[in-house]
Amino acid sequence: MSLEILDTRGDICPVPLLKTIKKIAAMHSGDTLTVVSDHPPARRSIPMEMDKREIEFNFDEKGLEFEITVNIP
Amino acid sequence: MPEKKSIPYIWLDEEIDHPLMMGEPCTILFTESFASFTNTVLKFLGSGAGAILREVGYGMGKRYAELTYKQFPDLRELDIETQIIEISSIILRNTGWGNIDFTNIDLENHSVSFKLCNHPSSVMQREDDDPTCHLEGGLVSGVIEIILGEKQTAVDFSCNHGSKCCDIGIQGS
Repeated sequence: MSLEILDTRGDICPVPLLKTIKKIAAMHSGDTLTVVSDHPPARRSIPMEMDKREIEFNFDEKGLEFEITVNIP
Repeated sequence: MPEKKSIPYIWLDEEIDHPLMMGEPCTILFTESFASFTNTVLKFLGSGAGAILREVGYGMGKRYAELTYKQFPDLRELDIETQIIEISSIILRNTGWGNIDFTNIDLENHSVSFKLCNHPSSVMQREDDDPTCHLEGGLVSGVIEIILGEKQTAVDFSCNHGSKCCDIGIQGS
């Protein structure tokens, strides 16, 4: 099991979502990925995509930035 | 001064000394100038101007969507609803055409509705309740047509007078 951080700060749509999907596809069951972003639309698009894929996640506000921690099923 | 984000698909072509958007020559104008243009067209052509603006926006939307797919081909791997939200959001928000919030996406009945805020037409000083957001509505219908592959028409415009938001409905055929 690995814990990885994907820093997408400075990226705008659709890059944060596409990077997240690509990263998840390369990870394995039991791994954890934390996505860091400062792009407001990604607050919605990434959780929405995780819901559709039935992937559990935690959302943490960090001022203007936020972190989405994903547990790969 | 906070670090400014760049838009990854707008850059200056140094060879021709001209801005490019997704690789195509583009023209950048002030929102106020666009609003003034729209205001003038509506003033002189009346209700017929709406159809012209929708048609212009529709062509723009189709082009924007085609180029967005070209630049980000991985978008095609997302489901259709996500593609509609992502591509519309990218195009409208990051190119200054407003912030879009979908209120309904009904693919079975070929119907999409959304709230559009802070779009160029919303800065116009209106003297009546007639819709002004024809170009933006046409733009989104063009985007959705490329995504779904079927003709779309912006059919329902509702202006929330005094606010910076409009409600728009799009129907596929």
